Amino acid sequence: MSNEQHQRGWTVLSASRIGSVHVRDDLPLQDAVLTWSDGAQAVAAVADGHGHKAHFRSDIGSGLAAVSAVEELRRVVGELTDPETAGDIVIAAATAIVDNWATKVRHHIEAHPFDGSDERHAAALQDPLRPYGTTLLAAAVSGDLLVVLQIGDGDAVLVTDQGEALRAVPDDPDLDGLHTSSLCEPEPLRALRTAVIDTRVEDVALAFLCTDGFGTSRVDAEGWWRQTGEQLVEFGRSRGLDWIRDQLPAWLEEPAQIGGDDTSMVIIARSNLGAGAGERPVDPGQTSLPQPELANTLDRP
Amino acid sequence: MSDRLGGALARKPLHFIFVLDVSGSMMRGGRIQALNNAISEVLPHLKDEARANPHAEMLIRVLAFANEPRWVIEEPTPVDQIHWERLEAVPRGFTELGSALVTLTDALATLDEGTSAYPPAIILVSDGRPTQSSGTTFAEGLQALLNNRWGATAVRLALGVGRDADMHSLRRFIGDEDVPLLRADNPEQLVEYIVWASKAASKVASRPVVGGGGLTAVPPSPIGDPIWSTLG
Repeated sequence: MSNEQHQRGWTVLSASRIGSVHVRDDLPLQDAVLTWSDGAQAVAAVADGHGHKAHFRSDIGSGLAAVSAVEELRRVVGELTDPETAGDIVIAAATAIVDNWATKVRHHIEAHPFDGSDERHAAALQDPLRPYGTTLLAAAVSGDLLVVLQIGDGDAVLVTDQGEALRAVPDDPDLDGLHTSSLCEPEPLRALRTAVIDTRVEDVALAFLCTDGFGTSRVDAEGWWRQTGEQLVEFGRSRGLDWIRDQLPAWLEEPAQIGGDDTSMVIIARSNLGAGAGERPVDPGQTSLPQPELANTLDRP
Repeated sequence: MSDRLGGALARKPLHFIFVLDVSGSMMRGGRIQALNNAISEVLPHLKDEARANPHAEMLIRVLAFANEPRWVIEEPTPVDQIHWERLEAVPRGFTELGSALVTLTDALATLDEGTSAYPPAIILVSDGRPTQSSGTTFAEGLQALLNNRWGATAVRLALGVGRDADMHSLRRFIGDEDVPLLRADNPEQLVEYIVWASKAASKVASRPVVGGGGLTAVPPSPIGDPIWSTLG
């Protein structure tokens, strides 16, 4: 039973790095990442707050989006038992997430009212959600069933045991590389994209979600995500998930510097992906202890 | 397999385009000399901006216009490779800004063939009312520019030179009412305004999102006497 439980478990890793333009312009990190895992199930969310001046509280907006997503997906993750019902569950969850996000935003506005004397705040009085504009990518996995939901830009990718990567959700025809759909739109669910994946049937070893900061500066503009997927599976096998966890912040630092934008990534991997790596001889100089798997980790530098 | 996740990275180009009026009226009052001095003086500032923005590859082009548009620097050129050669005004030349904007739009269309880039920064400098002897009106040229997605998302700034500058047309070129529209009334002002506009444009254009942050920099206060607007 313990071996079977281990075989079916999921590990979630995440990191986030502020973009060089945000540092230059003295802006906050506007991405948010939130994850949860109990070993058998995992939930993860990545949100990218918009940089335009009209979205001057987007760092709050993205944080509230990640919280809303993880809260709701934790609530329903136990219901992900049947592929035929999971589609409706994820759509209902997305609806609840959007509603809860708007409610949380309104609570924040009550606590931090807009100042009418500032022209941006004056505009916000007419459209109170707009300053909090953000994208959202989220995933939940229980047993073999993985669901993904996405509003706005960013990348959600599945990777098979053989290292083959595929896009988790359909393309959004409204995304043109310059603009993005947003939770602050009047009807954000119109931009909702979802997927239900039977990870056993599809042979999925891991999924990763990342904000567009990770991919936009890649020389291989069309294939970077395939390479990323292939590398993650290979690294997981050869060096273990703990090694990936340790490397992830540095992997995000470079695109955040060169691309200028905040960059965040979440990886949900089968816990046994790195099982083989653990059998390798331990480096005698290695004195660090494995990091504990923490619930409700919020990785924000 | 490389240890860098996702493969090689490259800085995105930031296309910086000056559109400069060299019509006949620019020969009056030392305007063309002042414009040349201003461009010479702004280049070191742009080099500083390039160093301050490691995420953007700043590439410069210059389009001059009088009776017809003419590329002074047609190939996108890194700012540290620019060697400025003085522009001459065209005696009795017209101000064919509409045609210039069509030529500019044709150049922007090639951006779609390349990799992704930041929205361009375009700085227009003109001292007169647009003419249309070529058959292309300013309105038509502007519409062509705005119909191109790079033209529409570009950071567009404009500077008038002297009292005859058509500030209404320059405002239409800018579009965004929040962006300052300046008029230089002496050589020192032209230098200062072009430097300010270039630094502000490069900062705004190189943000990773469209219109990111907006242009919030305050323009410098006018210095010196308005000699270009008092000449008889």
